[in-house]
Amino acid sequence: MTTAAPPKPISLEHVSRWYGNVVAVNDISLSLGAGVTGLLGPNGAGKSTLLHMMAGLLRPSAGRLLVLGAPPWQAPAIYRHVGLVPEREAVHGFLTGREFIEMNARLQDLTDAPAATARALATVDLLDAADRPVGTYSKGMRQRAKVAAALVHDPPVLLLDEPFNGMDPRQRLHMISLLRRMAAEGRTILFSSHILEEVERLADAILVVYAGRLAASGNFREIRRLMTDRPHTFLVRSSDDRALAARLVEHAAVFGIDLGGGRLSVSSSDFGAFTRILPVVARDASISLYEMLPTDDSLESVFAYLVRR
Amino acid sequence: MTTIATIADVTLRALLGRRRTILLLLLAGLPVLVGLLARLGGGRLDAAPILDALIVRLVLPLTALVFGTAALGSELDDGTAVYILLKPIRRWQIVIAKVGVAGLLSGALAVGSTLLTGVLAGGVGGTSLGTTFGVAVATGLAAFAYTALFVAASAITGRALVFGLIYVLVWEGALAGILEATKIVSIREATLGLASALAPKSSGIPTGLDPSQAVLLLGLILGGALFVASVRLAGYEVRGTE
Amino acid sequence: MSEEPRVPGWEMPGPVVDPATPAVAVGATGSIYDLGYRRYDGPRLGRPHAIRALLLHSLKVAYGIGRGGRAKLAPIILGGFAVIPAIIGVGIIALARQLGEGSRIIEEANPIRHDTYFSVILVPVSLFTAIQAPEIVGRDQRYSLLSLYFSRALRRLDYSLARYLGMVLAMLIFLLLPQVIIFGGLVLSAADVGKELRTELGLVPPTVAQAVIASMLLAGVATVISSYTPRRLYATVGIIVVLAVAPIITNLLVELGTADIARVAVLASPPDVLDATNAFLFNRGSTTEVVTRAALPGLAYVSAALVITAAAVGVLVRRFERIAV
Repeated sequence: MTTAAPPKPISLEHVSRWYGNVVAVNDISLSLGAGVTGLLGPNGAGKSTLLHMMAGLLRPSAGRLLVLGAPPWQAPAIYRHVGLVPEREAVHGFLTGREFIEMNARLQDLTDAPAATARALATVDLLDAADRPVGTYSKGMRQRAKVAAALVHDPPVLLLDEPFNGMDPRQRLHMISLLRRMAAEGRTILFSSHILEEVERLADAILVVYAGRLAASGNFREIRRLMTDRPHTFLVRSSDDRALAARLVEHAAVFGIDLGGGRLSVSSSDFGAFTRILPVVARDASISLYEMLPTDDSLESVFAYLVRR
Repeated sequence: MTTIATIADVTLRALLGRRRTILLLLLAGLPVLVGLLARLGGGRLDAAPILDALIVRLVLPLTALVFGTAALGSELDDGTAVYILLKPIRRWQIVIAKVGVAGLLSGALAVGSTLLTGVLAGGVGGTSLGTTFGVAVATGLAAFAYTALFVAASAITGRALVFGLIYVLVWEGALAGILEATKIVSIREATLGLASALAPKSSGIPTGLDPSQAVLLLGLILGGALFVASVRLAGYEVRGTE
Repeated sequence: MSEEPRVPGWEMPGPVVDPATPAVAVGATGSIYDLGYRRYDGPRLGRPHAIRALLLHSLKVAYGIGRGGRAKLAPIILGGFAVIPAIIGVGIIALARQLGEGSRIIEEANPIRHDTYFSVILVPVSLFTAIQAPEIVGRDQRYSLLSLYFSRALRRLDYSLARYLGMVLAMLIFLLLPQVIIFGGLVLSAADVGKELRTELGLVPPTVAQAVIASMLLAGVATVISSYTPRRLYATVGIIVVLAVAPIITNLLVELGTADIARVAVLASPPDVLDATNAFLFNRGSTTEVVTRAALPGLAYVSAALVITAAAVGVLVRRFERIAV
């Protein structure tokens, strides 16, 4: 039986936010469910504004924003179920890590604050530094403390604003696996970043915002496919590039050929057709194919394309 | 209840651990020093002028200003307020904790300074002790009114320190002393009124407001400020850094 | 490649890579272009020039020159308060002299004179010091610029003294400009210019001396407080409190009848000391009760002013010798 699907934990309908004449978020509609979603955009695109509105720290100027079914603005009760890791570095520097997280636990009204604190510390791997003042932490450790404070109360919704800032690669990997684990437990996780590799590696789905507008949403490879009006570019290495190029040019699926720099690069507007004809052409011409690389099927090119639109 | 205690604990540690506390201690020690000098110099035993000029007009408002604006304002300013705001607690609980701690600290400084100065400069005879206690009680109560006012100010604007200074120096310092009609809205006049009412008759403390008016004003300011601060905090928007 | 105009002292050693070389092929190799590290071989002006530049800079900061309109607000308003009474006073005297008789009475009753002017503008001067000293001294700490200053030819001692003297110069201008106006106004409106000029010139040494003492003392106190309190507002409040509360305390001590201690305490209160030096230099009575009661010889106050100044500057220098950057 199919009734209407249960409402997504986070849903925005035509949400806008402006400060006087400056529009920070412009008519965004989206909905998020369980799993990890990456919020991608350049600085000033409105990522922090979106996250703060979802966390209930900002009021939308227009539109409807619901978190777990209710607007989070001026609704302290909802904070039991939402955790936010803010971008600003500052935490209460004079408290030890343990005291800081325990403060958050107590304010969340948890029945056993010390135990929850210990669990959170273990999750972010801060146990050995837990009894030093947070002011002495490195930037990455402070980030981890902030994450621990955000999940000490086990929230089903977790919002992270540039969480990988200042983390070294090992800490980043640790954080990525942590977030994956939490998402697998059914949590809704939204994190913002302008570092494409992180989003590429962690997110199941992405939201691309630019100048306050939602430029794209979904799986980035699918988004790429949707951009049919922009040709894909492939690098091909073969036993005879020039001959292969001459043969390929005959086909409609091939948009352009470039032999500069000793490499054969082929632009095709129809990815599917090109991948079908390439091996056929090569075989008919007795040319061996050694390598084929999509040169711009990365999040970077998707992003650059969307941003330039 | 534990939430108020938790916030109070963190606020207390935040307020105490800084250089400004030492400066305020020095400030509170100034009247005591003057009292000591007066005693050593063999002048007449009268604490009232010192208590009036240096404590009620200087130590009390300035310590309340510094503690009051820092209690909430420093957290709102550097962004650590998020960790307090994003919790399922009522906003008035936050305000009560902040005002309580700041008021307690500035009250302790003012009262301590009053007691030491009063005993040193005025001795323990007859009317002197009564004067000292009268001023001590009045400043202790007024400390909460002052800090509540400044905490509310810091919930409204980031420039609470400037406005607080203007209030203390210009409004209370210059105007309310001169214009009779404005005396009714001056915490200083209320403090003086309460102190002179509690002290023995010929204490030398300026009369200020009627004691009943004074208590009413202090109560109104305290309650009003708590209310305003809670409302402003409930609608406080934390922008992203973008 | 075209011939670039030769700027003296700048040269580019070595060839620049021909930009016609193709850029990096996709995924293949990388290249680094050598644009040539440019050295400066021109004249270096050295420490004295740096000190002078910093002094001038401090002076400019005091009057908000080279900054936006907001920075000029306080100096201009306070400067107005300092200068306008002088203009008005001179105007009244000039008018009175035009009228002929009776001008003598007005002149005697006129409060705008060289010797009284210091107490007239005490408040604007104190506010000027309190507001601008943190700008001059505290700014560099707030924006962590000290490491930039100390890695140049400037020594730490030079830094603190240059900043201090810049403030002193600023205050000298503040204090002397109205006096110049009074001087000019009196001389130009006099019936007997020669006689007036002689009288006025006689008053120049005490006026200048008082201005120098006042500038050095107030600047010293203000800059040392500012150097320990980078936050501008706290520094301003601190300076105001020190300058306003000291006379209150001395008054209290006098009122309570502690004669001897009051006499000593007067020497530690900058506004009272300056009032006393003013009285001493112009050879007239003091305006504050405290100083009159204390009845100390004038030189005691001058020495007190110098001692306080030296102590303040000493602490200032020590602060910047020891500050960690």
